[in-house]
Amino acid sequence: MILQIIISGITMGCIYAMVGFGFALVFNSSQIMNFAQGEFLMLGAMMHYTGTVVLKLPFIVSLFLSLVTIALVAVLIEALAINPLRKKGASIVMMVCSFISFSIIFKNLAEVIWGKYPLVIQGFFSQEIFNLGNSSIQSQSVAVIGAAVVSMFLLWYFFSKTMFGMALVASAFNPKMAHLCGVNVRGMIITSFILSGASSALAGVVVGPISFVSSFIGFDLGIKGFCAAAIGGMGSPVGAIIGGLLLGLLEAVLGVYISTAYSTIMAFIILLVVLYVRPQGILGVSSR
Amino acid sequence: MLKKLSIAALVVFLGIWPMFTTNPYYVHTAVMIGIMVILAVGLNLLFGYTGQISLAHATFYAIGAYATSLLEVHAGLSFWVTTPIAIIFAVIVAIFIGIPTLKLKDHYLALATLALCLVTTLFLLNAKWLTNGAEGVMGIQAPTIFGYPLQGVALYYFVALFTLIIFIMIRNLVNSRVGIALETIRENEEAAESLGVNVLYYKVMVFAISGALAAFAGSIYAHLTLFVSPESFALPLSIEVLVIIVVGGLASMAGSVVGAVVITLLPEFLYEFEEYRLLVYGVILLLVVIFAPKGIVGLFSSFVGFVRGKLGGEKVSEPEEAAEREQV
Repeated sequence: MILQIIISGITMGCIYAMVGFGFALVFNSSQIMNFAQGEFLMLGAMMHYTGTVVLKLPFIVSLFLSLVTIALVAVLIEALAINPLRKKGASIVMMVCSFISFSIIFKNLAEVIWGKYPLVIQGFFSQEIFNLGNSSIQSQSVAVIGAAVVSMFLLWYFFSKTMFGMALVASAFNPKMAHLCGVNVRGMIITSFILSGASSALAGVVVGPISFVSSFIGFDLGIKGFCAAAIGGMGSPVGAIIGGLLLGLLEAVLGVYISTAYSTIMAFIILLVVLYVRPQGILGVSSR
Repeated sequence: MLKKLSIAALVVFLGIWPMFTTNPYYVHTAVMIGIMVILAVGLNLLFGYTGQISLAHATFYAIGAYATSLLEVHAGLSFWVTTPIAIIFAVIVAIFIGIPTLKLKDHYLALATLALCLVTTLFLLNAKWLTNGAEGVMGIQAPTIFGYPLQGVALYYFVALFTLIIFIMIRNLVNSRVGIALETIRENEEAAESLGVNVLYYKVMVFAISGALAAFAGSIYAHLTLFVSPESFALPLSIEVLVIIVVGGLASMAGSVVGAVVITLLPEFLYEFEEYRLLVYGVILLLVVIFAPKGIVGLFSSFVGFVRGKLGGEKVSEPEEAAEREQV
């Protein structure tokens, strides 16, 4: 029983972590909070539904298609709104407003395209549940945790072992300095949008079989991703992972022993307490 | 002169138009516009003038609606007693929430107020012992004035009068020394602090004023529909008010009114596209943010400036110019 709770907590924690990670990535490179991050997840899951159920593509092809599409959507946001606003020197709150409008647009566009009713997408494994000791575990959990570990490893490798990744870290750390050293800062922002779009889309594809897919999940899971990123430390990818796992475990435990409604309230209250007491998050270093 | 005449004409029009209509839906929509103007003026004071984004506006709207209707249904108090209680309660909540929250800036403030808004909705849905959950509160009575029920056209006149009073009060506030302090806080907090402006004090004060206005609007809403349920006070409402002030014009009194009229009437014109309504909202907000960050009012005044420039060198009379400056 305990094992079952822990695994389901870690599963949701991985989803929050992947969203929060994408969120931290964009925040790092451009100091902008992408309030439409959750919609990337929703669109990713929807595209995967279209790929596997409507177009009947093989799993891997559909997954790839979904990641590429969402990465393009993320680039589109950067090109249509963020870059013009940055050039104009618009205030941060105007960028927040632009993300809020993208979030409204995506959610309602998805409702128009895919309908209001929850869709079912197939998991990676055919068998739904397997038993471990005396607890039954959703096989999709393994896919979620696997996807999270693999994507985190790839991103870690990219950031710490490749020249391009290090340039991205540098331009996040100090855009002016990186620019002087010949780093294309705009290119780095675009790259971070691509990576954050793709990682959120991956989260959507793996969470789909667990939570069903509807136009609402983007907001629900996105807000938890924000919580994860803010709890762990805004702009700190490792913090986002820790924050996500903490949040997932906490929700699972409170959900079983108290009630699911109050576990969601607790998530937001913890977020508020972290913001009030330590706005830079557990691992964050930057000032508020 | 022209401006004064047009304002007088507008007031007369707002005063007499209900006499020429028999359609209660028009009156209902007009009251909704009044409610939205009150909400927008409050949020514009907070966000437009002082630069503090808030997605928690729906929370105070909910406080106004739920406090008045619960006190009326359970304690049998009248509208005239419950509304001041709700407003005072909203101010107290705003001060308690505002002190820690308004120390945060930009994104963090948006995130914290977003969380507050979501907590409020979850509370309204789950605290069934108090709010009756998703089923909402029923049995609210229309308020009476001298034994005459405040409904329909009477409610319209009541709301129109109070909207006007609130508009003038807030306009005087932003044109006073306090208004200058608020705009200084928006432009540069450190500079404001070094000039002797107590930044947190002013922020919390403005948050409390906007909360009080939202609570008043919520009380009117509860007595317009005579029924309250959580979904009227959720995040979409906060976003709608935000859209109103961004589309109308930030830091502009006229902007709040223009935005409220446009955004409230828009669904009526998009009636056939009911399911695309929110999509259209999103697109409009995005276009305004990118192409017209000063909103409709900003577009209008730059259009006026453009026309005057084309006419070339024509001397503009002093008071009109002053009025123009005041509007911007």
